[in-house]
Amino acid sequence: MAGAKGAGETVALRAIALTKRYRRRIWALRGVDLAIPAGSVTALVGPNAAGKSTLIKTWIGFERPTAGSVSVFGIDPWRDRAAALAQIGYVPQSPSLYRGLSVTDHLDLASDLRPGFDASTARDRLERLDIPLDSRAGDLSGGQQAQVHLCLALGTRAKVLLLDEPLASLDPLARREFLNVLAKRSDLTA
Amino acid sequence: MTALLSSHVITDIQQACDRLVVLGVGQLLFDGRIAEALAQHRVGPGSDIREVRAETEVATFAEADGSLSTLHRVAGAPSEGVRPATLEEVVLGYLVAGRTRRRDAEAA
Repeated sequence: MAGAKGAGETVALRAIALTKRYRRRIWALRGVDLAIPAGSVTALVGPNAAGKSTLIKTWIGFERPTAGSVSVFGIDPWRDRAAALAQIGYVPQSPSLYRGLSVTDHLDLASDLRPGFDASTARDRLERLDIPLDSRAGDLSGGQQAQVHLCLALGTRAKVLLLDEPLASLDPLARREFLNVLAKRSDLTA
Repeated sequence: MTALLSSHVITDIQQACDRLVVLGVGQLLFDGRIAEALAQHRVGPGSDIREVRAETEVATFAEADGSLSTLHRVAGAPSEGVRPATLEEVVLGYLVAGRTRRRDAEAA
């Protein structure tokens, strides 16, 4: 844990010799070693199809490493996905809300499914962003759906936020607002 | 709180992030603190002649106006005509270096 990264630093997200290969031939990740320190805000940059989403999905247990391993605060998400997910708030690259459910329904659902979900903070954020809470998710714009995802992720009060291109569809104001949240670590705990 | 944010927009990253991971087709190309990345790299005039490459050179890439620039790691970098690298240039340099290594490996 010490070494070049600095002694005593807690690692939030780790990958060791992580390799992911699809259908035996397509290499998504080849021998990636990473130790993301707790408390950092790390940018993940690379061309399309560089493996960014695959990397993120291994930490939430959606992708199984072909070789090597990953952990979230020491928990292997493939062995104990529930425990790993309890540490994580995740925003996928493309919105995957339930189109027929309202925004409020999503908050209720998150409250039911996620212990400790902070619905009032999430609702306050959504109101501040002028997201209509009674609207069906399918009637919201792409940017609004992304905002709902971000608010749901923030509401988890998770120790780790995994954000897969969450800003692409946001308007400049919404984007600035969210970057400020990240930069100041406000609205966030742990 | 810990966050990992994938993004293509360098200005967003500079506003919100303190660390940078560059991934190029499955391979880790850069991993480090942004402040250190900026302190440790310089940009100078580029050349597409391979033989003149210095040991400090990360990669040569085209600027928006088509001119060539070369990203250097600081230690031992040429001091004439160089300036501090921007974060975008650090990212571009490592992406180009990764692509070059991959093509060399495929050709071999």
